[in-house]
Amino acid sequence: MGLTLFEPGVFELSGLMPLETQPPVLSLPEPSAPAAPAEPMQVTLRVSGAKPLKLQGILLAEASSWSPGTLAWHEAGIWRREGGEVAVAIRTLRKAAGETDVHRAELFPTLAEALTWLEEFDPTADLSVDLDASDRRVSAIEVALRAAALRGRAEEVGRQWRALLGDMLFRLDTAA
Amino acid sequence: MNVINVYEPVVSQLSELTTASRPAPRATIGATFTLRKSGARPISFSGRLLGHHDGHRAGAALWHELNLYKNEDGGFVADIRVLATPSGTRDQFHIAVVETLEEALQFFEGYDARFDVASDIPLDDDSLAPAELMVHAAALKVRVAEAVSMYRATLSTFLGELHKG
Amino acid sequence: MHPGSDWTARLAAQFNAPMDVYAPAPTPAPAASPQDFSYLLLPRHGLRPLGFSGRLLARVEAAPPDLPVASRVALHEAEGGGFVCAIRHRLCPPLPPEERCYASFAADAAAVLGFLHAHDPLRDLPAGALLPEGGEQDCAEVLAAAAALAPRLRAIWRELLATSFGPWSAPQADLPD
Repeated sequence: MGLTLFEPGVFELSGLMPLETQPPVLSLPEPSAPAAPAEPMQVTLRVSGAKPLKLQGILLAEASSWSPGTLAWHEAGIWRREGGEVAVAIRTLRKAAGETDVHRAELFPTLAEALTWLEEFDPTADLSVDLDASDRRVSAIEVALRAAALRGRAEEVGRQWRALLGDMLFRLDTAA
Repeated sequence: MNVINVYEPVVSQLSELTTASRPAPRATIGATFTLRKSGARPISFSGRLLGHHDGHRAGAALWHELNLYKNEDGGFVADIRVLATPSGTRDQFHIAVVETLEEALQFFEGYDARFDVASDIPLDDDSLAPAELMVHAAALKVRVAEAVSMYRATLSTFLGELHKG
Repeated sequence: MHPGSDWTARLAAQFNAPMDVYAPAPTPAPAASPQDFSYLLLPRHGLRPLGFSGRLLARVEAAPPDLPVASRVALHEAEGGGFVCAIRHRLCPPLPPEERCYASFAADAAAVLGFLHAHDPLRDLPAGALLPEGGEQDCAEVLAAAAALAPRLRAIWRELLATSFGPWSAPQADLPD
């Protein structure tokens, strides 16, 4: 196609400031030792059902899709390790009763691969479906209404995630 | 100035319409653009803005902004921005990078604005009376129809200006 | 024989007939030679404009003072044969200046009438088009008045078609209601 899409090499610039999107509402891991923003910091990224991902790196970007009243939203962060690898973390926060957060984190050799992983992430994967269509005690109408509500919520979460991702990656690109 | 043909030609069976020949686009060195794209990394390219239209109307909670760029590599970039008040969290950006003007126009014409409207009906709230639910449902139906109608009106104006421009 | 020439002659005769008082007199185009065809561009709701070489045959407007929508139909002859029909609805003040435009090529008179009669003038109007300005009135009255506007607008539209296109107004299919 001949377009110059987002190139990883742009991050060789020194002195890159981490991008602030939200006040400390973010629950992404704090560095264990205070450091100047351009200095690599020790980062521990939780992974649900697996060992955490630990690295020394610079925060490139972070974002949250929280909005007032929402019960499920996402947070994402991108770090660059000194060797050039890129770590990405996605956290699905779920605040409905009985639900817990879901943590994902991966390390990639290049930024392009990390971004592909982010682009391929399905934001509705962690939404719970508290709907048992085979439960005869619940009327068909209630099932239909519950399904409509779930569908609406899933679409909204998807929209918020895509807005988060597009915004975070745009700021990442234009800050370079 | 580059002349763009965006119209649909009426071709009669009885004779051939000969459209006036348009000058070939001049090769110009354009600016570099980086466009936000929802759910993906931004799209960067060099080129020129061919047309732009802001469909905002006073009091609108949701509107669309349309942009068409000529890409230096010969293709086009179509940009649909879905903007809402309060601004920020709800904005969506849809980009199509295509080779022909026809594909760009089909992208704009085929866009379904129904998906820009979020349902705010609290279907889980058991305390809502059926009468209240009906009002919510009717209001939502109107918002969806309105989003589609306003998008199409914005599109008509955008395409008309594009052709004249 | 040119397919449209007889019909255009009858159309011109029809337009010279007296019209109802609320509709301004239609303006038939003066008799013209074929060289009068020019390039025309007609906007369409949600679509790219329709472009063609043609000339205006006749134009009719209906703008009853007590209705929020003014409608216009323009009939063109396309160079090389056939017709292009254009519809424009415009919201009247104090409503914001919204327009809804439609246009279609029609090979013959029957197709023109089919296009016009299948058209619902209310279909894409902005949601608030029928609601009056000001909030002092009783809510039930406001809604009743707005609901009553819709069939009146459709009736005006059908009357416009009947008056302008005379004895050929209704094709066999049922009219929308």
